[in-house]
Amino acid sequence: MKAHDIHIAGVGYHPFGRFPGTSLKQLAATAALAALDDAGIAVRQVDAAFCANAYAGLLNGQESIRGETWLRGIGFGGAPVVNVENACASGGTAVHLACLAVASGQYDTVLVVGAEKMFVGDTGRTLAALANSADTEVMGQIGLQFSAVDAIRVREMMAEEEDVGATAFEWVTVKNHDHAVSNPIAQYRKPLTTEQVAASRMIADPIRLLMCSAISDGAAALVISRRPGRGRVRVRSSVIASSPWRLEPGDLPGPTLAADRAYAAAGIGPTELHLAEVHDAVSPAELMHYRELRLCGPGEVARMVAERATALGGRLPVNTSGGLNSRGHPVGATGVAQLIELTLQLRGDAGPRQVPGARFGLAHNSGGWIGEDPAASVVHILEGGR
Amino acid sequence: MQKTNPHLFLLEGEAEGAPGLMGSRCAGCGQVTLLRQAACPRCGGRELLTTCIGQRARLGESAEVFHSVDGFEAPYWIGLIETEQGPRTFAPILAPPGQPLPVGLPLRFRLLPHADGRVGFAYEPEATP
Repeated sequence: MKAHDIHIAGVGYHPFGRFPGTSLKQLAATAALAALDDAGIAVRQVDAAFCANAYAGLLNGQESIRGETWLRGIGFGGAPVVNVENACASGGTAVHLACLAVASGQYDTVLVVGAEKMFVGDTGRTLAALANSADTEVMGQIGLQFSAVDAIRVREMMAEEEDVGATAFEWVTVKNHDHAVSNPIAQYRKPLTTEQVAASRMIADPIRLLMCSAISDGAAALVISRRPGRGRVRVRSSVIASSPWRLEPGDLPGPTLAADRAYAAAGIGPTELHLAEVHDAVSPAELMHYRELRLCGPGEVARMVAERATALGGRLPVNTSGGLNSRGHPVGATGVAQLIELTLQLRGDAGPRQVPGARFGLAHNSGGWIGEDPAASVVHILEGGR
Repeated sequence: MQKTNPHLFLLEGEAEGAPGLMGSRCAGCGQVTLLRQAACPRCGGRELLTTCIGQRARLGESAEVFHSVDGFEAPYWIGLIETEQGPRTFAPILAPPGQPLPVGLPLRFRLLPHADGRVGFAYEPEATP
């Protein structure tokens, strides 16, 4: 970010989980008002809003002007509302646009709201909506579910990483559930045992039920501003990569392209990070992301697991929020919630899951599938100013 | 005959070499891609010929799926395949349950009638694994 500094000046959320009596509007409004309160500003002081959602058209009957419907009820009007859809990366994409808007000098203070309501009384309809996050001409009608995509990608990693298998997958699932215990936003706040994970139903081999992120209702919001908020949390880089055409052997995957550009823009390398939130749509994918985001080198995943390097207390805690697997995955809110966790950590406000001395944090938000990669890979690097 | 994925695969008679997957070949540089494309991702050329690809393929990694969807009754297999012309994509694999499928397994394209009367496709091993 060059022109103007960008700060995360406030965070707010509606907890993730199952809320049958709460509308999508109410979820979003709760998060938005909490973020404004955290930033200590009134809605009149917001110059623009960026609203992220993926499936309200299919699941909630609100295809267009989603953000306008959410924000009308909190007294927002007159200022621009931009609606953002980029599958599971909708939230990160909205944050990216908000950062550009502030960095450009066009706006001083903007609001980002990500929200999703996925419990609609028909799980089949929700799963069918999720399937729309791929190129439906290619991936529809062939029996392909995202759990199978993840299973195949995880198997590709297993082929290259010695000693990474069921034991590692069970460990990372248990780790993230442990992390979520103290996170008030999280959908699942009870610890799991490896035995429980191993005994859960196989979904797409090697992915078991308790390794999957769950359907969720929830919302998350940020105030992004030229002016710093508490903890002086600054956005050091904000990058999106679409799925690259990989025409030559060795061409980099989308998440690595995004991460490399984010490290370059932030002027730091992965060894300088103190924590990361990564897109574990299934928990074993977290291990794959260690490599893709250069948190470890090829062949080092098993060592990361053996050393518990990514657990709280380890060298580089990952998904201290519980990740998608435990925090929950209300699609449009996920990328925003990742940045809430980083902000709390960098402010020193993360309570029992606080990473001591955290200064640099990375968030990786992934959306959809096209070609050989996620359709969108979003990476943010934040710096705390404590 | 109605196809499940009209833009993804070709029936016999729809293109030379069909049945198989729908692809594009760049008249300028020869790059082959999956689906009908408007411009070549390698050279930017706009003259692309629709061509049938993937009559044969090799299996990459695969996963046995235990949740039924789209008329596919679990357990069934999904794999990442590399067509003999180069493009890679996901595809259903016709193979018995419970037996892991080896990477590199030779596959061939096969049309697959669906219960709703439409025709889909899958890949089946050239030889029993």
